Amino acid sequence: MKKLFKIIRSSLSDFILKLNSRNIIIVVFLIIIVLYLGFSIVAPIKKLNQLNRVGTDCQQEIPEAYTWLNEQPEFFSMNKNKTFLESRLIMSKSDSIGLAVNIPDSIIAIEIKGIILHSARIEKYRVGRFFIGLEGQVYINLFSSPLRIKQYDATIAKEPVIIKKAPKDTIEAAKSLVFPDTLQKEPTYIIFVLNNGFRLFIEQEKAGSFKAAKTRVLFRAGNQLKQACENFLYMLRFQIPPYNPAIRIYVAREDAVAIYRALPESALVTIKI
Amino acid sequence: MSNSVIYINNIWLKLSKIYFDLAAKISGWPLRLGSYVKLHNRVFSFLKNILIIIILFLIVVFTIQWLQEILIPVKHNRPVNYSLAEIEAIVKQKAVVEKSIQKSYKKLAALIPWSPYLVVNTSKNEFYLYKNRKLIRQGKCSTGSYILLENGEQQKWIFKTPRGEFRIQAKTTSPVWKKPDWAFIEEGLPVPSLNHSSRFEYGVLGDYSLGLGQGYLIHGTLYKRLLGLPVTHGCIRLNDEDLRFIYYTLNIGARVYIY
Repeated sequence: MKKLFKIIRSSLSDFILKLNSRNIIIVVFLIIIVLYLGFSIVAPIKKLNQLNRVGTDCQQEIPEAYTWLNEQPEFFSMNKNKTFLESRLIMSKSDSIGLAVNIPDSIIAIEIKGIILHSARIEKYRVGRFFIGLEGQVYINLFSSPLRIKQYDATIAKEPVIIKKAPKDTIEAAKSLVFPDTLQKEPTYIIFVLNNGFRLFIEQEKAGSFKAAKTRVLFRAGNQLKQACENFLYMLRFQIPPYNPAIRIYVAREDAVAIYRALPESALVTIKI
Repeated sequence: MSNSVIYINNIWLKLSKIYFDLAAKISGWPLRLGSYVKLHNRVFSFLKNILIIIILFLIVVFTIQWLQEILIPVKHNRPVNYSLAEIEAIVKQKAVVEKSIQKSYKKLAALIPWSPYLVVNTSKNEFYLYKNRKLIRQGKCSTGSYILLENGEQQKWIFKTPRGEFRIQAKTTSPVWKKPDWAFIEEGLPVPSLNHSSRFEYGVLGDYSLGLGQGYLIHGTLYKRLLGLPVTHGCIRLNDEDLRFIYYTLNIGARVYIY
């Protein structure tokens, strides 16, 4: 052990003695990486603790003394159902189209004033461990009212506008007739960032083609890089970056398109996990 | 092919010039072979280090989410031996929650109209007609093409079907289409005066039309092979049978939901 310590000490002193610009860059880079890793790993734990500590204030009709009931699985499951229904009722008061995501029942639906316009089956889903770590009462408080879409991004256009210049005469008009290509199926990958930072991914179930697989990889990588850059900026200010837990839902491509195009800019979303 | 080769050669030459200029600046002029090799090695090792840094950074970025996930502490529900008072509380609160669930279900169900209503899916170009809360008919329709017609800088029209909740505001048999300006501009024709006879077209909207307001209609079409495709100027086109059925099912004031 002593020998090993001696070797480490001598190699470290060698390294310090031989400090040149390249080694300095390596050291700085390693420090940055370690800091980045540290901050990023601490972020979800901090958020979870913060929510579990602050968010247990009861907002429901259950007396505060009974909040422990939400740790009882059967009761919690019932209460989650109640929360979801109440959240849908709140959403129904809005005039615009909203999204209801019911993960246990594998149903995603778009609704307006409580009327289900389109319902689709969730083929697969992935819910972050963050949500499993939430205290029962915190979950209830987080999802007791609809969340709002703050930001969105997708691999398809929200409005697939085709620009057409007015033809000069009837001959040009006949030439410029446009008919939609029914065989063209754009890979569909969507992300909704909700007002509390949660990210809801809606993706087509199967990649199917090389183009779709490539789009998926690029879309995911782009999102991760964007997130990493944001986190990096926080790290430079020595702040713990905000953690945005994700829910990933896989549905049929047509359903994903319909959902994305139907939802207005800052639509309401109600979720049951 | 030859153009692209010349283009690549030009880029290569430019890059070589930058490289040699840099080499000359760092090693001092005139550039000797020895110093060039030394510099070449330096640049190569610098680029190698940069590449390693980028790869490391990408590895960190793409594994961080996985790391974050596995390090989140997960709550485990252990079986608890509840006291009698606690069991009583659970039973009592379960009844409260159950009552609340039933109340919410009833409230949500009450929101669904018994009267007939139409739902239009503009992504799939399909319609669904409901009566007494049951789907009674569904089929293909055509909705807005999303074409943005530009006539210079001044005039622009977008042909999209609006989304949201609408009501049937008018019902007409044997409707006549009064062609708006864009219909002439789109066909490359001069725009006639407001009430010119060429503006009025008979039979193109089918036997019936239902008005949704702001000039949007549900009507028939001559182009039945295009049903199921987004080809309209914002209206909803149906085939003759579906149009007739919907016309006689929906009354004025009936709801139409478009998404």
